[in-house]
Amino acid sequence: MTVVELKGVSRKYGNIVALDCLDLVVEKGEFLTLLGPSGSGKTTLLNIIAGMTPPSSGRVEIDGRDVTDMPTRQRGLGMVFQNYALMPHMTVFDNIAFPLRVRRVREQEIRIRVAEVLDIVNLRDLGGRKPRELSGGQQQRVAIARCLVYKPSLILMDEPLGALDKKLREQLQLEIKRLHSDLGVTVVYVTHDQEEALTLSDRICLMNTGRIEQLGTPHELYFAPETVFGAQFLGESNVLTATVSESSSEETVLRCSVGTIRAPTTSVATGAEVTIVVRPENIRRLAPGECIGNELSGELIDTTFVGGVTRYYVRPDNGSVLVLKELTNRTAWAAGSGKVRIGWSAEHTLVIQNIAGR
Amino acid sequence: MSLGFIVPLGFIFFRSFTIDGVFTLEGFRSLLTSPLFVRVFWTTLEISLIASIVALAVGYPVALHISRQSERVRSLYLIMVLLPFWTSILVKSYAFTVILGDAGLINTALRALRLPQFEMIFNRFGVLAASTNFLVPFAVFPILANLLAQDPNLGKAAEVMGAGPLRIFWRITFPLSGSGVLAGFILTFVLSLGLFATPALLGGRHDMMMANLIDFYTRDTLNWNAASAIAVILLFTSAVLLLLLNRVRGTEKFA
Ligand SMILES: Nc1ncnc2c1ncn2[C@@H]1O[C@H](COP(=O)(O)OP(=O)(O)OP(=O)(O)O)[C@@H](O)[C@H]1O
Ligand SMILES: [Mg+2]
Repeated sequence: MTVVELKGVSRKYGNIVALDCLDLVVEKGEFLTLLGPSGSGKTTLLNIIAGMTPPSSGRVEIDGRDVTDMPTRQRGLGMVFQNYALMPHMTVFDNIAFPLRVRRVREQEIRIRVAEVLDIVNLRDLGGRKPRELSGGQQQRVAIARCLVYKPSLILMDEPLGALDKKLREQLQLEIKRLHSDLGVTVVYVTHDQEEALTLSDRICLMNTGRIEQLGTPHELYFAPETVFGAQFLGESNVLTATVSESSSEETVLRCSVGTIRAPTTSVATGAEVTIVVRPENIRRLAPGECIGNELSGELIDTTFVGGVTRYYVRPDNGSVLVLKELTNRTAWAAGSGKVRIGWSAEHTLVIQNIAGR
Repeated sequence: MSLGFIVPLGFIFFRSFTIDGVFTLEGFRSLLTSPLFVRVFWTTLEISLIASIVALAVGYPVALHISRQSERVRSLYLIMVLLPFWTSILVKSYAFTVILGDAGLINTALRALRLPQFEMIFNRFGVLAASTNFLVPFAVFPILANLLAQDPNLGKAAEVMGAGPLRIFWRITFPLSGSGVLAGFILTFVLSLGLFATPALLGGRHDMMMANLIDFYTRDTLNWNAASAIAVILLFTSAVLLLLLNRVRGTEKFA
């Protein structure tokens, strides 16, 4: 069942196109993340669903009803803000009771329901505190509880964990994931943190300059990026330009500055200019004489040790620097320089067609 | 510059505690037992209180409206609020005679409509109307500063939760603006304690305020000791209130 459907939604601010004729369907119970760099239109999209920003053109449907002209407060959604947006003059209890009082729920029932959600977010005894007496993580839990208490079918979250430190962020990510699967709500979640998107989402909507770059499961976005932007935004990528020199039903052979490269079979015609992407973790150093599909030799120019993984920068004999990543082990390559041989198997070469205008 | 301020001030302090160079509290004692001073004191409090409250009641909706404008429109409105600031109080008082006087705009209009006319100057009404007019900008600014500092997401969050504009105002915006209102009140109240020209030009015999009384003692009875004592009392009251204002400003931030 569809909860939200956007049909050709655009939003302009003067000459700035914040959203460019965008179609999007959010299914019931799914966790959809809007991921993209700053200014890509994520907040604008969320505000259009919430009704706080009217679209310049296009229609918005929620639960099958056209709500394009319906004011925010009649849409019955929930929203969690980056800065929590808790009422500073109200206690935690009153904050959470606020949406219930709007709905004229009886005080007796309010007490029961507030206690229930405080339980869900593990803040049982803090009902009497003011927001300023809570830590950032606790405040955001109150904001989430305030949202859950009136059981909206759709919850919008705009970088709810953006103001928290890494540890707390990871902990709350797990809690949000648990709440989502326990309660079966539909969530549209904004973040520009790729790891957060990968951790939480059923589907990721990758946005760039007001358009949807790619929409799919985290797996699809990571392993089958459709654009160079997608490949570079999610995870790390080595990007090379190449020409298709041979295309058969077994493999594709490409020619580029570092030599000949093999890739899985694609639909791209021979002679076409394409971009190829190789993930750093798929490249490894080779033993003398070892062949794995794509091999090249170059010079190790730098090594950086970042805890669990070590990154190596290799300059091929002719071409720009490639990065490769290996799990750190004590007998890793000696830091410094020297001739090395590296390679990756053909299945790890991603071929991306150059689409005009992108 | 501060020297030019401190020397006369010291002189006034000295005068209030001495007669012919001899230390005495006679000035303060005679004031507190003088029916004239007590009456003027209460008049001053009454006018200041009413004028401040009316100024806040007028200034609040103005500030609220301005706070909801785009930046460009807002600066236009601010100029309009500030305009009377740059106008001499004498000019403004004269303008009020033109509007409120017996042959003024309002009464002429009422006469033309064959309706009963009102005396609106040389009485309490004239003083209150003119001093409120003078005080409104001072009420607008602290309230506006507070409203602009409020987190716009609070209203948005309430809206998403289903609250209407009235509930958002009374449950969120207004309670959060308390410190701004209090600051505005103290400011306007202190300013109206020192009103001089307005009661002198637009008030009647019963609308004498403290500053007018000082004028009376220095010019008509040449009782500099009493005049200085009043000045010290005024200064002290204002200082206490302004200190309070500082405290209010200090606790403004909630989060
Ligand atoms: N009220 C506004 N007036 C003018 N331009 C705006 C307004 N709101 C957004 N924009 C523009 O629209 C574009 C998209 O903004 P939006 O806030 O949706 O980006 P975002 O993806 O949420 O970015 P971030 O990650 O920084 O929050 C930006 O270029 C921004 O400058
Ligand atoms: Mg944003």
